[in-house]
Amino acid sequence: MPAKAKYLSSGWVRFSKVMAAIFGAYAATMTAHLAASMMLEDDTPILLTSTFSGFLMWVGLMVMVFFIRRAWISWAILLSITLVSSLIIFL
Amino acid sequence: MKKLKGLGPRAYNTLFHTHTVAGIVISFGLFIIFYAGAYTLFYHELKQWENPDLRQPMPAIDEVDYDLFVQKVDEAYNLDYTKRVNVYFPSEHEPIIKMYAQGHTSDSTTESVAVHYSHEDQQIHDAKEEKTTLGNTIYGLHYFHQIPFVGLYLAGFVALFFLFASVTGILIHWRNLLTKFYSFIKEGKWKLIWTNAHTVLGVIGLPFQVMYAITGAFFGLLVLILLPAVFLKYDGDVEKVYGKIIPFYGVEVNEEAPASDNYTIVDLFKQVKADYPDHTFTRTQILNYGKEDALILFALDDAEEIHAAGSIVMNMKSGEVVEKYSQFPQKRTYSYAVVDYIFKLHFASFGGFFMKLVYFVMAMITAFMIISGVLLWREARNNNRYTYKQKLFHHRVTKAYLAICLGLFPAFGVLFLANKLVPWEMEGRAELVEQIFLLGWLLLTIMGLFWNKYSQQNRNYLIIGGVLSILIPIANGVMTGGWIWNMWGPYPWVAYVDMFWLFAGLTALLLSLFVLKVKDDSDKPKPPVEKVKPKEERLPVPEKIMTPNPLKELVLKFKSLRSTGA
Repeated sequence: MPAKAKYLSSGWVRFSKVMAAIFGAYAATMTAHLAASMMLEDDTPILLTSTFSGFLMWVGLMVMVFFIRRAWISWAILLSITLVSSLIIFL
Repeated sequence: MKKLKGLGPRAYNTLFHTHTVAGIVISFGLFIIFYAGAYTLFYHELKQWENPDLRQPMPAIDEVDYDLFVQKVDEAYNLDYTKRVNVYFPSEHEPIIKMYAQGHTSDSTTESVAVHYSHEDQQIHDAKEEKTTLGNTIYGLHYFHQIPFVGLYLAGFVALFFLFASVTGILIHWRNLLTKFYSFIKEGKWKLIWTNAHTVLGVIGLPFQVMYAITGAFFGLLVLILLPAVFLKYDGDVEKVYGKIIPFYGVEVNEEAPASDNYTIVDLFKQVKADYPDHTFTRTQILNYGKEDALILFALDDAEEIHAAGSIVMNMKSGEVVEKYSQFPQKRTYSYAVVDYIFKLHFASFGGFFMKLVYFVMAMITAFMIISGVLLWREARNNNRYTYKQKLFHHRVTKAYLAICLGLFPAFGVLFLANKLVPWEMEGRAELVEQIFLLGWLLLTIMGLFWNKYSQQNRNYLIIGGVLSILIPIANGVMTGGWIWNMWGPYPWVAYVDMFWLFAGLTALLLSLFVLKVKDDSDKPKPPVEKVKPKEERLPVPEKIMTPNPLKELVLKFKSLRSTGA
């Protein structure tokens, strides 16, 4: 019943995944929501929606990080969401 | 029934592991949140039970002279009318008027004012220090308020990882989702029983649990969500965000406005009440009372319907409704309604009392689901693939966990009893009651660490909790005269609370005596039986009798020569 250790990543890869799941996913979630609110005239609905969709997206990305085998692919996805969203926000 | 296609072996094992780690880390926090939260649903219903001063007849709420009340408080506290004056109308559970406002002090600052006004004795009572905070103690426990500074955020992270555990849980259970939908098995190995309890209740409770994980994270971690937006778009001013959710929040008044002969509060109240005859009115908020630009807000709701809350703002001079600050029931826009929906879903303040009962049962089922997860974690590790040391660790975690969680039932008994037994006139009694509760819980937890059988822990806590529960209605009767038969007619909620404890106590005792079977052996893992090696056991032979072995001597000599390289 307990998870079989041979399938689990270890050491730095595991640490990197945990960091990606918590901080990377948070950054991607927040920038994506901010970018969406920038595209609308009235940002209030997006801001208020983010109070629940923010948690859903954050956790969804967390699961994604562990679902994808290689940590760098997860980082690439999270950082590209963050980057594209940041471009929309600041440009 | 066909099995669904589940995850591949790597993803399955990885997500399984994250589910286990996240689940075990948050488990006891989550249990406390759900257990205390289940009782907090009845926060208002507990009011008259915990506070005998509230057992008084309900006045007709639109016939009280609120202006006279405001003026009386002003005489005593010198109110600052440019700040909001909040007046709470009497309600079924609290038939008194409450006011929270700001008052001028001798120097030019203001300080908060909290008063209660009892219609029965026509007196203003200072409510800064309350005599009973039982409801608040349970409510605070629900979000770890007793832990300074970080309690709320800890609770928020527990909720966030509860959402993570729910999602990973449903993913790893996916292939058995249909085939094991109804596996209410209560026979067989303990590991199977806990597995089925955990998965079946987890699937049935999923919508409820996901709703609570999200709304719980909302309350605990809202700051994390709003922070980036507030800094990037609102110059770090969070008040601007509140102004977007509650239009009345951003209103500013003219401090120099001249005095004016305005409509009375009761007049305006009657006018709004005529417009919304089916709504309950909970509170009013007054800005710049007695001045030309005075505004008054009436908050109204209907406990049945989810879209029925609203707030009507009126100009006190003209008596007209100010549309731009009002939120009309059933006509609110998305932005004004969404936060209110989150509150209503979380506090079960819709659908009436029956909805609260459903929530209570679901919360208890979830608490059980959490416990079964920990027991399953332990049972799955109680085999020969783990060393004695590891098994001992699993046992100790499970034991401590059960002591904390199951000890909460008798600890609540201690809290309710302390609320009645600490003398009513004593200074600082509310704080003392909370300390007795926390200390009692600690002692009960420590006691539990001495019981090495889980079923023994369970049975003992049920017996202690059961006896304490039955004493609660008796303590209420003796100390406040609130015997069930006296309260039944005039204050039914007092009787319901007592009856709940009587029922809970008797059920706990019956379960402990007739259903639970406690075997004699312990759940503590037994140390591995060490194989006795006869050679090591033999006493060293005295040297003089030892006969030298010529061959061995030779080998040793050869080895030593080789190691020195000679």
